[in-house]
Amino acid sequence: MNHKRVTIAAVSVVAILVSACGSGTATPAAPGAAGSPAAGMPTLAFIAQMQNPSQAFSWKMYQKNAAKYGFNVINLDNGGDVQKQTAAINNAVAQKVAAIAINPVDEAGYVPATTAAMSGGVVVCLSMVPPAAAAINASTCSVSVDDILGGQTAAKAIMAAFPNGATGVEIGGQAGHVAANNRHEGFSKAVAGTNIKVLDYKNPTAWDTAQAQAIANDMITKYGDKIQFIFCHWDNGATGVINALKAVNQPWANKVLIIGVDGNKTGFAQVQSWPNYISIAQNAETITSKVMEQSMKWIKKDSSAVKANIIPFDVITKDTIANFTAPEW
Amino acid sequence: MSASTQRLGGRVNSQTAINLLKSNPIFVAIAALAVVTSFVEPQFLTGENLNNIIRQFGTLIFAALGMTLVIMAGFLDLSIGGIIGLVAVVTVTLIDTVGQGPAILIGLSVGLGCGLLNSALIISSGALTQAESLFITYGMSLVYGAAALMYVQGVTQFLTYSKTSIALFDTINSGGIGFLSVSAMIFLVCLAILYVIERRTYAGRAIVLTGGNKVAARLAGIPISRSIVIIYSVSGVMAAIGAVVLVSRVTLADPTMGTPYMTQAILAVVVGGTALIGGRGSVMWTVVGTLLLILLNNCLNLLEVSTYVQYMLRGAILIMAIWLDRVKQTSVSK
Repeated sequence: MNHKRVTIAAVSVVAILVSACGSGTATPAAPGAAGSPAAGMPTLAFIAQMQNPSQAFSWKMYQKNAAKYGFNVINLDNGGDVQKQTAAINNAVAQKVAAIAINPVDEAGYVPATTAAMSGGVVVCLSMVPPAAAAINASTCSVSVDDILGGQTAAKAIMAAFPNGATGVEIGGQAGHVAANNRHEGFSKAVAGTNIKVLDYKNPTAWDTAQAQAIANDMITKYGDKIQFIFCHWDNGATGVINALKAVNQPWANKVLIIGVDGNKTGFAQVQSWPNYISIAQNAETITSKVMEQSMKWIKKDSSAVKANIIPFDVITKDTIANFTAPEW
Repeated sequence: MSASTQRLGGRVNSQTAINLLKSNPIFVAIAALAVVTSFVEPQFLTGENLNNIIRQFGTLIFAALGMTLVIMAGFLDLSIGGIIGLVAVVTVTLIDTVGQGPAILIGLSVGLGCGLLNSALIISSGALTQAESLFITYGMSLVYGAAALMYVQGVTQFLTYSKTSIALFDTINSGGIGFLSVSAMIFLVCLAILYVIERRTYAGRAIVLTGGNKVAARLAGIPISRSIVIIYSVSGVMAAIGAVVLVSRVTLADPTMGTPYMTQAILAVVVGGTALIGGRGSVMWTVVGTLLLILLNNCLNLLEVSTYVQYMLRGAILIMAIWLDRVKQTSVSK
């Protein structure tokens, strides 16, 4: 009897939780949003890791501007896993979408599924990342900032801040992630042969602030005041870097130049609050709008459609911050 | 004491130490790494680095302490990743509404509620094997993680954006009396309570007996269901305390921030020497296991070992710990 009651209670709680969390494989645009389903419009499926705040914000931007570009939009979570990503692509095709906008988990894991989708007439557009050299033909088009350029932009900012040379460290994004690899590549190549010396480079297992903070703590312990700059691949990670520098409680720590990437709300706040902070910003609304614009052009076989679309980074500093609007993520 | 007795005592002590080191080669390996690091990297033995290591003890030790009782009882709890994320975002978002103290209490209650829900699911489904508990709690981790994402719409919540006082979180992060930080005090209180439960109470003995042999324990009249409720409630609360400490340290709450602790906590418990199959272990051993893991990370970072090699070493250590545990079990049964 007791077991029955416990079972009923447990099942009820889970049911409430599950219903609160939503169900089904795809999340359609919220009713009332600009992108709410409309009859006759083609559907675009946005596939990404929805636990990533930048992708959650991108989804909002897709919903916001979908109607403007003539789409219904749905969302499928790839959970940061290649197998789930493949299932999500196949699900989108089964739902007869006209276009897939995908922020892939890795450089090539999506290739077989998107190639099959494209052969069925679906337009596949990479959202926020460019295709790897080996995967050029596995997408119809791409809209991205160039993360290699992002790394180069960070390097140029450091060179401008320290014309006589400097030493510092780099804290990468999630180990193996395409954006982290590209940012590191661009940064390394740009500082090679210059008077900017990178003392150490480490990656966390995820885009996790606590891990970035732990890595920063260890680097500070090892190199101390030799650290004049810290290039951290994402602004939220740089929050951990700032915490680590504050914990040192030394005058030199407050002078460290920190460069983050993303240009999110945190990045904007840190540009204002930390003495010397630069945020290399990617504009999610511009990128997602471009994805939908280009996807529609490819669907209509418009001759002006472009395969590789690069959106330039914005550089947010204390001097330029007034020119930009802080995003909500 | 005569000279001969002293010599005998010395031999016994050294023999005990040798036996201890023989049965814990992972301790020896990491201790050797620490010695090598102290030679190669002079910064390793500085007070600053010791402080750094203690700071990194943070969330992992709380999650691992809770996990110890679960593993001792022959179960697993993978839901702590989701619980940490959920408690973190709930706590931070409520600060402006209810104040920092009540927000922390609500956060801890959420952790307790998640633990109770886990135990209810395990009891009601009759899941008595470790594999069943693993899958149930993994499923619940997804549910808690999704609830956290839904709650904040995937947006990271910042402690520093709070409009009301966050002095309590500042105190947890950087306050202290003498050399003892507030988070260290919280840890010592939790450790003392869990140690008393483990060693001095009927509930603690019941947990060990449940882990030793669930069928025999049930036949002997041990209340297995009660043990399950206790271990998962403790695990939920400890994960919640870990979440509050984590939020205080990193000054933000991210729905996914608990994910790394899901496996690291198990690793810390197993490296400490608690038997993965249950029936043997201690929260004290887990403290050593956690310290070893943090020491390992710190040494490898100071030695500039590549991130990828670090992952490989962590995996190798987990496999080695489980393998050694099996070897020990086999030799004991012989």
